[in-house]
Order: sequence, then C-alpha cells, then structure tokens
Amino acid sequence: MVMDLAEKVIRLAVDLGVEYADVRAEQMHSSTIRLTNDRFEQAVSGIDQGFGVRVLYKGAWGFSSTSSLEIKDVKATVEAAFKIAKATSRGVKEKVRVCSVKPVRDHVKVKASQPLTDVGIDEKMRKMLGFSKTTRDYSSKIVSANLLYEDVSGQRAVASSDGANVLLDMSRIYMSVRAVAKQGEKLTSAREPVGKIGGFELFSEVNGDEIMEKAAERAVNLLKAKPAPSGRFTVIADPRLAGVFVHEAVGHACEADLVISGESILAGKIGKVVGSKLVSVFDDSALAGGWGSQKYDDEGVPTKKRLLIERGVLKGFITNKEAAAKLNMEPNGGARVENFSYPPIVRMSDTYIVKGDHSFEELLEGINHGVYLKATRGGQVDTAKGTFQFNAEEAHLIEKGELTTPLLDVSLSGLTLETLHNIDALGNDFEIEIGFCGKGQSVPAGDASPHIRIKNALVGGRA
Amino acid sequence: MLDLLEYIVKRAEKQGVSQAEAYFSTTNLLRTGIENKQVKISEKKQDAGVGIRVAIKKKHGFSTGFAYLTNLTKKAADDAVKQALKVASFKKPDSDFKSFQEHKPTKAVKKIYDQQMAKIEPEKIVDLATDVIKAVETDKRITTISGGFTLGTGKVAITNSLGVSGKYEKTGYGAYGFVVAQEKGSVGVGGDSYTDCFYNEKQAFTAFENARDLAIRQLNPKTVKTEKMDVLLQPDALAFLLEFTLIPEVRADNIQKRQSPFVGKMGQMVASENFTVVDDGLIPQAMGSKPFDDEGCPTQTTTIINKGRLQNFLYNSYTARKDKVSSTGNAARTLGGFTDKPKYAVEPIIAHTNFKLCAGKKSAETKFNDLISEVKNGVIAKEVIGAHTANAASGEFSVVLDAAFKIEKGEVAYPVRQAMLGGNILDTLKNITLFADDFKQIGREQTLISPTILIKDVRVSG
Repeated sequence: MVMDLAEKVIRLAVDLGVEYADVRAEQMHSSTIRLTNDRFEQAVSGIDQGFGVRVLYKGAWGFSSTSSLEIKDVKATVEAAFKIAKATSRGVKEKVRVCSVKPVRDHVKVKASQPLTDVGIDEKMRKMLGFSKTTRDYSSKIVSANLLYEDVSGQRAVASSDGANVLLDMSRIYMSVRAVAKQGEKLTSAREPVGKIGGFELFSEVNGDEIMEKAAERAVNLLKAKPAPSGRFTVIADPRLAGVFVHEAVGHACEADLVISGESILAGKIGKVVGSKLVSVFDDSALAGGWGSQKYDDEGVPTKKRLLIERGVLKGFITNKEAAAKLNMEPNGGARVENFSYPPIVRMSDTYIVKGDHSFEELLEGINHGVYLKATRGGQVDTAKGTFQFNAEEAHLIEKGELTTPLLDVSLSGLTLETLHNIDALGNDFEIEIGFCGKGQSVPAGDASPHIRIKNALVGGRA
Repeated sequence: MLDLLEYIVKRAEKQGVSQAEAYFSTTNLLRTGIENKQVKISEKKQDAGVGIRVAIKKKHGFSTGFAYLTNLTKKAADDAVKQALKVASFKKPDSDFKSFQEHKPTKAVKKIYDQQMAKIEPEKIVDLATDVIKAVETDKRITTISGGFTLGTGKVAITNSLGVSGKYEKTGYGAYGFVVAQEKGSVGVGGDSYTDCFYNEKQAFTAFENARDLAIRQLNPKTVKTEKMDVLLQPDALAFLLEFTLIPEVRADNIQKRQSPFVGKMGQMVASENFTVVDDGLIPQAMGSKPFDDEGCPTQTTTIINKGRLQNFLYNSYTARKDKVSSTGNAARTLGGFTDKPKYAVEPIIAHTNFKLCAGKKSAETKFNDLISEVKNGVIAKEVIGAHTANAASGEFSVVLDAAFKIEKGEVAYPVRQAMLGGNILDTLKNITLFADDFKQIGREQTLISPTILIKDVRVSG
C-alpha cells in the first residue's frame, strides 16, 4: 500500500516538471515503555503513518509531509512541496544538483522470529517489570531502576524520480536500564543498553537479567568513588567511551553535508594526515547484525562500508546524492530520516575504530599518573571548531601503571584533531554500543572501539 | 475536532472505564533553512493526532492506560481505546491515583496567537533569509552562514469525563543563526536565536548579527589558568544547564521519587537570597504560555524559589493529589531532553512553562555593562556544552564553557579556548550575586526567561 502511494507521488512530482523527487511513505507500529521501579511513567502504543515528499526545482529543495496516507491528500502535498521549492529557488545562488544512481527495485525483509506486533503491550510491560525487579533485588543500595523500552515495526517505501523503488520492512527493539544506587547523601547511577534489528526474540537471545545486574553492580561500585582531579593527564578510554568519541568527534565531522556547509574541521583534508598512524575508522551501514544498518538508505541508494580514516589519513566522507554531486564523490548511502516527516540528511550508521594489538595491562604500563575513563553519560561536540566534551560514567585513577582510586563525575574534553594525534596505543579488544544519534532527527546508530590511550588529555573533575 | 474527542470519551465510558480523556494536537510548520550562505530548502509539515487516557476502577484503586492514533477515524479511535484498556487492565492499581483533572475555569492568556502567522507565504521567508544573509555577509573572514526560520501554528483540544472541555490556538516563531569565521587557521563559531509567539523580522536580523559578531570575536582564543574566579552565564548557557539540573530537580515527580537534591528542603534556603525563580504560564508572547496545561488544568504563576528559599514544586494533578496540594498547572506531554515526539503521543508528565529567573532583591539588579565591570577576574559564557550529562538526581554537573571570554579588571580581555565548570547546582545557586537586565526567552514548548547572571568565586579549569 505504501509503495503504491509512493509511486503515485513520484509520478505527480515528475509531471509538475521537477528536476528530482524522492518520497518516503510509511506505516509504523510503535511501543514506548518508561518504567521507574514498578511505576509506568509511559506505556504507549500507537500507529504513525504518513508520507513526506522532497522535490528539487530550479536548484532549490521543497519538502512537504502529512500524517495521512489517503490517496486524496497526495496531490495537495506534492503541490505544496513544489510550491515552496519554487519560492525557495528565488533565494538560491548556487543551484543544488543531485547525482543519479542506478534504478533499483527491491523489497528488503527483516528477520523477526517473534514479530513485535504479535506481542501485546501488556506482555512487553510484564517483561520490563521483571527486569526492574532484578535490578532492585541486586542490592539494598539500589534505590531505583529506570527502564526504557522502545520498539518500532512496519514498512517504509522509498521511491525517487531516478528510479529507486525500495520497500523496507523495519523492526527494531531497544531497551536500556539506569540503575541508581544510594549511600548516605551520595547518589550514583549506571546505564546499560541492549537492542537489535529484529523482534521480541531479543530476550531469548540475550540474558536480560544479567544486563540488569551489570548496571546495578556498576552503580553500587560507584558509591565508593571519589571526586576526580582536573588537569591534563594520559588517559585510557574504554571501548564505550572511545566509541562515543569516534562517533561524536570524528563521525559527525565526516558527514558530507557538514563538510559542505563549512561546519566540519575535516573539510578539505581528504588525503591529509588527521591523526596518529594507529587510527583507522569505518562507518559501515552494511554491517551484518549492525544496529544502525540499512540495506538501502532513505534516498534509495544501496549502502556500504565506508572507509573514513586509514592509518591516520582522512580517506572519505559519508555522502548522500546531493553531497556526492557537490564534492564529486560516490554516493555511499548515507542519507537517513527519523521518519517520513523529515527530509533525508547525511547520517552515520555503525561507526568504529579498528582494534590494535595491546592488552589492557600493556596500555597501563608506563602511566605514572593518569585516568581510566569508562562508559559515558553522553557528550557534545562542535564539529566546526573540532571540540568535544564527554562525561564518563565511571573512572579510576591510574598510578604507577595500576588502577587505584575509583573516581566520580569525570569528563573528558579536547580538540578532535589534537586528540586523534595523541592516541598512542590501541587495545586488542572491541566492544559495540548501540544508541540513538540526534542531529535534528533521531536515528539508531552504533559505535565501537577498542580501549584507546590518549596522551595529554583534558580531564575535568571536582577535586 | 471536539466531536471526535467526545466520541472517544463516550466510547471508552461505554466499555466500562471510570474516566476517560482525549487530547488532540495538531501542528503546521513552515521552515526555511540556510546552508552555506544561501537559502536551500523549505519545508512544510502537517501533523495531527489524538492521545487517549482511560482509568479503570479495580478492587484496590484505579489503573490508567494510554494509546494514541494519527489516523483520525472512529475505527482507529476504537482500536486505540482497546489498546489503552489493555494497558490499564495489566497495570497494578495505583492507590495514589484518584482522578483525572477536574474542571476549573481558565484565565485568558494574552498574545499567544499571531493572526498573520498562518498567512505568511514562503516567498516572504525566503526573501527575509536572503536579506539576512546579505546583512551578515560583511566580513571576509566569514566562511559559513547557516540557520533558519520556523513559523508554526498549533491547535490543542481536550475533553474528559469530568467536564474538562477546552481548546486553544497558539503560534510560534523561531530564528536561528549560526556563523563560522576563519582567520589564519583559527576557527571562530557563533550562534544566536530568537523565539517568540509573534513573527518578528527585526529580531531575525539581530540574531544573525549577534552570531556573526560572536564568531569573529571568538577568533584566536587563549586558554585560562585553572583557578577560582567569577563566572557570568548568559541566558542560553543557563537555559541548557538548568534544563538538566534545577528544572527537573523541582518537579514534584522527581521529588516524590526522591531523585533530586531538593528532597526535604522545602522552606529552606537553597540558593543565594539574591535569587528568585518563578514558573509562569501566563506571560504574554512567551512560548511556554497557554490557558491550560496538557491535562486541562489552568496554568498559573508559581514561585519556586523566593529570595533563596524553596517555596514550591511543579505539580500535575497526579503528584498534587499525592502531596494533598493543588496542581500548579504543569502537566505536560513531553519527554524532555532531546526526544521530540508530538504531544498527542506522550502521556502527560510534568514540565515547566516559562521558567523565569530574576533578582531576589533590588540591590542584586544591575545593567549588563556594569555587571562586566564588577568582575576582576572571571569568564563570561554564552553557551555551555555537555549539560545533558549532568546527574539530576544529585545535582552534579560538569560543562564546557563555550562562546566564552575572559574578563580582567572589569573588561572583556580575550576569547577563551576551553574552560570547564563543574560543581553541584546547590552550591552554584548559593554563589549567585547579581542579575543583569538582558532578559531573553529560550525554548519552544517550554522556555527559560533569564538575564545574564553572576556566579561568584567558582572553580574553572583551563
């Protein structure tokens, strides 16, 4: 049904004389559960539907979306997109062009042995209650367990005037827990996420209770932590924090739309050394089992594994049809949307640093006075200036090559390029973390890394 | 639309629920985006949906359930009622839940609807964008101008079994400018925004010009020494910092869950006596203003901190009944943070309306320029980075001061490269001494309204 509508939209747009058009039409079932201890803050199910059409006319973009899937609304919506593209074209100095890709027709299916729509919202709530109990039962010091469950499944049709007709079956399930521990006045928390592309069978494949206990254990251990020192140190970042660094600081700067708009520190640096020889970075939307994977992007372009940095040298960017035309590069399937109501923009999928050959002990060796940072409560970057800031969830002081005092509320900040150059050793391990990336639109994105050692990094603490 | 809402409430009641509530929201947005010094894309979005809540009576209390629909037909509504019932049937009864919002007369809110907003043609916005670019593109060092304009019109309607039945219309306008300047390998970045319920071309120019001036002034920054100094936080910095610290910490739900450093501190001094915070849902032209909250309770003016003393929390009907007080009209269908879902798709929780910071006493008020001259050694920051990593339960935060300048001997000395401010929000509030006069409104559905504030003698790491 959504594909019929998508094709009709493209026909109408082409008849209006546009240079290019693409559309996403979808119907998605979603469930959201937010549980604090045994109280459901949100237990929401709903069906979201609609379509969004984007047209290029006289070098300007017009986009229009509606939460309707009625054929009768197609004409008005396409005309609205055309009308505002035309209005926009009067302000255009350099005309937007898009590169063409080979026509493709495909139906991408998704494996879900227990489809999300077959499991009632009540069943999902029951599962979360069980997990909440496991978390709180771990220790009397756990004062609360905050669970977030989200799933979405349905179909998205992507069609374009250059011949993309792709029907994407979608099914994603995600859960995270934040365990809060308390002792005296001190409150600490730790978070663990889990999720996959697929269905409710996730919970027969992973041990959910173990994940809950891991979060609880980490929160309780943090109660012993002390305020961290501030200043410049040699630090070791664990795979989760390093993964966030590669996503936020490197990955975003490799998004070709930001490169073009002058908002990336990596603009004009292809072929140049941007970091230590040890560093190689990929963004791979064709990664098997990858959380951010999608066989075709939301412009209908086949996705692939993209080499961003090879042994310290910048090799490529993540592109869409527009950026590829502008930068004279290949479109590599980097256009994504949160849902039909947004125009596609350049996004990451699963981004990672290739692992090295040091054991954790070898990384510690020779650090007289440093900080080991683990996991993260999030962070923020400025891709134009190339600055970043992340807060670690856990940390330890490193003294004479050994982990000593546990530390609390530690942040790591710095300049992206300086930090990439200051990476002087990589671990031989590798861990993937899943999450959501926000850039005006939220999309599932994963990141991964080995342990990394960074010299002369700015650590912010409260001691 | 009230017809469909009444249908839903009746339909649910027929199926045996004790109470039902139906909430409709729709938005129409027109957005024009500037990228790379030129207008590039305009967007027009229409979205509408209905959120349904039901309460069913069980032996030991009520259970509530929720579901939403975007296909606004009776058939889809029937299915959504079933889903909401399924949730309510599963949930354990909640002895703290007594009822949805009862009917109360609402006050009119002035100037939240701009008659001309819906009539503005995209050509006008494109021309405005073109003129703004021209006005800002005045310096060779400017490499990027981006940003955009958003014009929104929205409608809300609500009906419940207790006689709540209301609707209102609201408009919103936002202009956001972002400028990058480069000089000899140094990169300066500046951003500024303007939000209001009314269309305002002049303020659009101001926002972009401020962004430009900031980007240029940020060129060639220096690091600061790690030491105790004064910190001036401008409204944008405060809005981001408080969104993840003070504001969630004075929400009654977080107090009842004991996830706030303000637990047990009612009536106590929690901030400097110079500091007053009011949540005011009735301010004309403010984006957080509305006649009733997202459960149908009239909005009001609530003093949260009065001259340093904690005086009230933000309540919705559920948390108010639990504490045996009146709702402060702060029920909100938002998930906060970066999650951006339509209002109809979210169960009401609690949020601020317009969170207004002001001086607790006359002697703490000053002009912006006089505020700068007060500072012997300090930093002024327009933005902070990383506030969302704060620990709202404990109040601990650690942020990068951004778009910042060093102040020496009462004068702005040089742009600052990287400086961090860490601490606990309770300690920070106690060090606030002065308020400037440069009030600014920041936010979309909820706002912070504040001037620049002086925080005395805090540790900044370079």
